[in-house]
Amino acid sequence: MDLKMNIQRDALDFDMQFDLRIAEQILQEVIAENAALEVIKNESSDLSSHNGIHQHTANFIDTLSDPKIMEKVTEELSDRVVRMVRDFY
Amino acid sequence: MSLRKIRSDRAFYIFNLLQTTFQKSYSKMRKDGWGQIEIPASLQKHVFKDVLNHYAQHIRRYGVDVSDVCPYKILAWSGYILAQRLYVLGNKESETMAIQCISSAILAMLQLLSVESKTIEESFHKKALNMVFTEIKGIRSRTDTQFGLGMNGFYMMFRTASVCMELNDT
Repeated sequence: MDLKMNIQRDALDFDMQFDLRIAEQILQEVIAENAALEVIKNESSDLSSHNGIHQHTANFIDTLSDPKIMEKVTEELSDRVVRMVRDFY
Repeated sequence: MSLRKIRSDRAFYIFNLLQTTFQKSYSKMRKDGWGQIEIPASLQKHVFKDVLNHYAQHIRRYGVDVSDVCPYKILAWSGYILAQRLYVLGNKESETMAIQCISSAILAMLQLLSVESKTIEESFHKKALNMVFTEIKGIRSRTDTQFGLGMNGFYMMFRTASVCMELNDT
């Protein structure tokens, strides 16, 4: 119950938000905090074969910037999550 | 080696895909109970930052040269970290939330795999859910972690499916 109450109380804090601007700010913070520990890439390193994103996937993710598409995709996914959780029990 | 080439907008939308799916599934399961839930912004920020910090440590540890965000890392690690934060040992409500959270990550990753014309056999979706939850529960109760699937294994399972090739493709 405490967990539920905490979540509801925090959700009422209208001053706080998580959006694109905050996401960029957090990324820059993490980059800055880790900068001192960064390693210069070793030319002989062979670990960089595929560490990005497939083009199809990138295109799909970019479409999620449209709230209607995000709504539709998450609506379908959440139905499947409900089935998966009920299956689990 | 750093996260400089990561596009924050993409990382944000991927994270949002997970947390919105989780929130919606919660509402659908609780029509007769708590109703809606909203992950507080403070928790979203913490989880997002924990994921990026882990990302930075991961690429340093394994010498990864990042060219853009890996959606499987964001989804698997966000789902795992959020589930870990929500789970309270012995609290049934929080157990369901953790399971919903892991399920949301699994189904979001399967969605991305389908965009790449790939999938994983259905029985393994359930095994992944069971094993990741066993790990999270086991860390709290200090039992059974040898049967669990940790955050890196969770990511690797889906990432491997994404990069696997048929011999005919090579």
